[in-house]
Formats: sequence, C-alpha cells, structure tokens
Amino acid sequence: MDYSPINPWVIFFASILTSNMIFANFLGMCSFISVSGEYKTASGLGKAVTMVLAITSGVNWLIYHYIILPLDIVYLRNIVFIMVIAALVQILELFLDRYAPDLHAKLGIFLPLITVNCAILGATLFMVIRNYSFLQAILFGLGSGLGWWLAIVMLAAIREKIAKAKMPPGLQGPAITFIITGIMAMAFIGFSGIFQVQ
Amino acid sequence: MMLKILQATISIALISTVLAGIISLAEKLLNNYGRCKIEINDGARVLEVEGGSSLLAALSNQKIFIPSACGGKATCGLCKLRITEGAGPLLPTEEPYLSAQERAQDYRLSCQIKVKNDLRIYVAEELFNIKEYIAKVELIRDLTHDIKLLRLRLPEGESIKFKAGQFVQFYTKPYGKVKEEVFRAYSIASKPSDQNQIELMIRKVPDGIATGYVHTALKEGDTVRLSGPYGDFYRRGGEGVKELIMLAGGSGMAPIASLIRDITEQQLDYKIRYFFGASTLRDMFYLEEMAALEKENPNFEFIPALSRYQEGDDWDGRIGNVIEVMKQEVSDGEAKEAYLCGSPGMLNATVKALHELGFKDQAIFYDKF
Amino acid sequence: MKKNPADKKFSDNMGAGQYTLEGFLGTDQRQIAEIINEDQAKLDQLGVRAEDLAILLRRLSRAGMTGLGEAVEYRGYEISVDEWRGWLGCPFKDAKRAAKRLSSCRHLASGRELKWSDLSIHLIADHGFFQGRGAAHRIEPEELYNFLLPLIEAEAKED
Repeated sequence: MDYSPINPWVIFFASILTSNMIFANFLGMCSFISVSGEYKTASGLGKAVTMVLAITSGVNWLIYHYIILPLDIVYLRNIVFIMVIAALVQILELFLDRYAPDLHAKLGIFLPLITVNCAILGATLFMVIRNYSFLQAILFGLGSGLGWWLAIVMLAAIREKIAKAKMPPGLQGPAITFIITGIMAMAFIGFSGIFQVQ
Repeated sequence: MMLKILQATISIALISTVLAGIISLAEKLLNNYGRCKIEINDGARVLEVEGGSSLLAALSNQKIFIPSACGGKATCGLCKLRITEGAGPLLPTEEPYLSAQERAQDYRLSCQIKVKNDLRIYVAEELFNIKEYIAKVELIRDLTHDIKLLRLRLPEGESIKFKAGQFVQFYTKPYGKVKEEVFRAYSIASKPSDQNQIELMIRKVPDGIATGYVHTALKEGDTVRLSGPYGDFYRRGGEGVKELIMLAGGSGMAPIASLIRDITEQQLDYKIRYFFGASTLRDMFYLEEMAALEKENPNFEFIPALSRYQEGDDWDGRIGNVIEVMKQEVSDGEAKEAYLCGSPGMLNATVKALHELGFKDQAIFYDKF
Repeated sequence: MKKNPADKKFSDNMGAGQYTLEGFLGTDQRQIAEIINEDQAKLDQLGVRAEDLAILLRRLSRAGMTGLGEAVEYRGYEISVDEWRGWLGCPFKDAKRAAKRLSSCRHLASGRELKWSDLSIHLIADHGFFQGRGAAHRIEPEELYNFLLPLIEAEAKED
C-alpha cells in the first residue's frame, strides 16, 4: 500500500482511534497492564509515553533517512532505534527533573520503563515500513501516543471502579484486565468504519 | 565482506558515541545548577552554595541546622520552612505534611527541595543558635533493661544554650550492617545550666538503627556528633498559671526531668505534679533522683504508677494506668499547664483525658514527633 | 513481566541497616517481585486479598492501642500494642509512613500467636509484600489467613 498521498492529519486521528497502539496492534501491553491500577499514575505514564513517542518518531525518521539509508546499514536499524530511544528517555528524565520535578517524582520508576515499552519501537518501525513522510511520521507518533494515553487512562478508570468488586480468585488481577482490554478493543473496532490506514 | 563488518561496527560506534555525547552534554546543561544564592530572612544572611543538593543539606553545610528527626526521608515533617521564591511546584512527597494554611504561606519540606536556582527562604531566628558539637561519651548507664542514659561531654570551651525540654540531633556512625550515618532526635534530660554536658535517655527500639547503635556499638570514651538545640517543647508558664502537670512514660522521662531540674534550680514558684507510668517494676527507673528532687523542691510531687503490678513486687506506689491515676488526682484545668512526653498513643489518650478535665489546647504541650 | 529497573533500588532500601537494622528481606535470595508474586499465588489459592487481611490486622491493632501497652480483648483475640516515638518510611518510597508500633496478638480459643508492625500492615495492604523469608516480620500468607479466619468468619456472618 502506498501511504504517501494520505493526509498526515488522517494518519494522526487514525492512530488514535482505528489503529490504536493497544487495541489494534496490542503493543506496549506490559506497562499497560501493570501500571493501570491507579488513574493518576496511568495518566502520568500516558503523558510521558506520548512525549517520547512523538519525539522519537521524528528523531528516528531523521536518523533513518539521513544516516541509515545513506550508509546502507538498514540491517542495523533496530539497534540504532533502540539506542536513540534509550538516549531520549535519559534526556527526558533529566529535563523533567529540572523543569517539572513534581511530574518527575510522580512518574518515578515509570520513566526509565518507557525505554522498554514496545509501542515506542513499534511506532518507529511502522513509520519506516510504511515509508511515511516527516510530517506524517511526527503526527503518527503523536497520535499513537495520545491513543495509548487514552487507552491506559480508560483502563485505569475501569480498574479503579472494579477494585472493590467481589470476583472469583481466578479472575482477579491480570485476568480480568485482559478481558476488559479485549472488550475495549472490540468497542474500538467500531471506529474502523471511519477511516483505515493499516 | 570485511569492509561491511567494519563499516557496520564503525557506524554503530559513531552513533552511540554521538548519543553518549548528547546525553553527557544534556546532563551538563540540565544537571548543573551552578552557584545558587539563598537569601535568608529578607537579606539578613545571603549564602552562596553549589546547586544540586537538598536545601536541608545545603543549609547544614553552611552550619545552619534545620530540625529533622528522620534524616531527610520525608517522614517526620519537621524540616518545614517558608520558601517564597524558587522552590518549584509542590512534590507528592511533601503533600502529607503540609496543611492548606501552610501551603498558602509557602511552607515546604526543606529535605525535599533541591537547590536548583536562587531561593528566598525564612528561617526562625532561634535556629541560628543551633550548633554542631563533637562530644565525648562520658558515661553509659542502664536505667532499665531497655533504656540507657548517655552523658555526653562537649569539647573544652564549647557550650550549649538550650531551654529545658528541647532536643538534640544525635548522629550515629556506620556499624555492623549499617553502612551510612543516620541521625535521630533525642530530648535532653540534664538541666540547662550544665552547659558543658548533656544527658540523653535512649530506649531501644526493636530493629532500630540509631537506638541499636547506642545500645550495642557505642562505648564510653567514643566521640559522637550532635547538633542542637531544637524544638518548641519548653516551659511557658502563661499568665496566672500556678501548677504544672507533667506526665510521661518510658524515655519520655528525659525532657520532663530537665524541666523539673530547671524549675527547681531557678526556685520558680510553681506547684508541680509529675505522673510517671511504667508497666512492670523492671521498666521503672529514676526513683532516687526524683526523690532527691522532691527533697530539694517542696512544691514538687512525683507520682509514679505501675500498670502491671504483680503479687510480690517491691512497690508501694500507685497501681494502674498512669492516665487514670492522673485523672483521679487532678480535679480541673484551672490555672494549670500540662507537659507530656511519651509514645503517640499515650499522648493521644492523655490529651483526651486533659480535655475532659477542662484543659485547653493552648495549655497542653508535647513534642509531636 | 519485564524486570522492574527500580527493583534494585528497592531491594537496596530493603537491605539490613537501611530502614531497619535487619532489613525486610531476611535470608531470601528471591527478587522482591518474585516474593510478591509467589505470596499472591498463595493468596489466590486461599481466595483472599492482601488488602482485606491488612484491614483486619489494622482493626486488631487499633483495638489493641486502646490498652496503651496493656492487653485488650477484641472479638476472641487478646492483643497488646507497644509503641515507640518516631516514624518509619516505606522502603517502596511511596511517601507514606508508619508509626513505630508492634502488635502482639493471641487468638484465645486456638492459642495461635502472631506479631506484626504497623509498617508490615502498610506493606501488605499497599504493596502485597509479606517480606522475605527469614526477615523478623515475615508473615506467611497462609499462617496469617488461618490466624484471622475466626475473625473473617465472624464478620461474614454479620454481613
């Protein structure tokens, strides 16, 4: 499929709703499940992921097109992307510590965790495979981040609601979370009639 | 083939070098706060410190000691001070310790604030009186099976000026499994006129780091670091107050003993009744010292109570919970002030009992840590 | 689950001489996450939640505190609480603190005994952490459940 004629804003909204990182691609599930217990922290992580996704998509696009392709080292791209993501998260952590210490304290351990969030690498790889333009790549990254944020915040809200509910032991914890995620994913399929870019 | 491997290695190495360079550059730019100015009390003192450490630590490096009982772990809330400029947003670790009113007045926990830029802060004048001492352990005496008395002698020529009832911070040294220095707050038991030495009473806390140090590692002749005095637990003697009710349990004896010694020495005209609670005979101590004070000061009455009296105990004092004993003895809160020291549960129960007797909150004093 | 990078920091905090003299891990060689997961599995088998057990512990401690060091009887349990001045921070660094308080409790009918600290209650309630094997305040989930069973049953009847 040729993605170049698609309006970048369509990609932006599609990546929030129809190609949601969680519900359509099932990427970034680990932290999605483990950090969705509490609404506030989930939202904080969502923000951080959004930030990292938007920035890494842009930076990785530049690196891919101006370093990796000219040097003909495409087979090394995954390593390079991961290194870039790790470095960016490091810098983001330093940046937050200085300019938003309250958010830094709230996110705590989740910041470094973002490095290993597969949604981030996933977005970079999608953007490379689909041959997005620079603007498309950035909006795709931002949209994917917002979609991920939306998903984790919704799940966290639901989990807070059912936290005190009586449940058979076999269903408690991750089990019921997976079931909820599945139902939410089915609901999100309802958006797929609007536009499809996958 | 060889060329390709070489090219790959070199490009990866180059990219990672560049990234590492960017990170260290970012760290230099973002983590370097340079010299920061701290303006204290509207310019009464201006400090210049290296940025990056906590305000509490930065101040203590400059020999300004803010009280702290937990050692910067954000669990005691004692190191509050007003920071009107440069503190940044409130951190989640501070929230539990600051009331809405304190937040409105820019109070912050100085152990949680990192010095990142110029600050404007307010420090109570009496805190400038706080000094640091390297003291020699002159005496360690067992008061009970789990309370030790420590007498610390200050270096020749140095003196500590404190009000009876205040506390010092006591710094431990690494010992056994404990790799770092910690500090805790202990009330002074000796009288303020002894300016060259202080006495502390330290009760062993199970699994406790600082009290474990005192009870197992510390020897007579060792030197220890301490700073002080701190605290707003001291004699007020408000207008029309004729009698002081004191109540303590365990190592809560320390500040009360200091208060009574001070009043006795200054021959102040207060009637004093001191209720001291212990559960068994082996927890009871300082009876002789108190009897001596009673002889010296005819206005002072010591009323110890044993809550877990057993048949055959050599005991002719009161039996029962010390708060109950106090309730029987004290009829009302008229012209009285109450000074308390003990465990949190005991304090709560005593304050409740005193309220029932008609004591106002302004007439009840205790340390809140 | 991916390894939590903060695990190291927490297990350092849990070590001897950091927050308490003996630490929270005892002789246990497992990761904190492993300890929590294995205890959670045990609780799942029993069909109870750590928070609910912690609520009962807290209730017993509260009841015991009214005795100011003396034993108090509460719904078939005899409980006494010792207190020290000061506070202990949580080694998980969650901005919570616990009073230095030790509860000793005996179930009168069975003679079972159990001791716990206020910090243990917090660790169980908010982190599902029962501490490492060999730690002074390690409580086996099963033992705790059996100890509290009479209270759980009594409350179920009232519901």
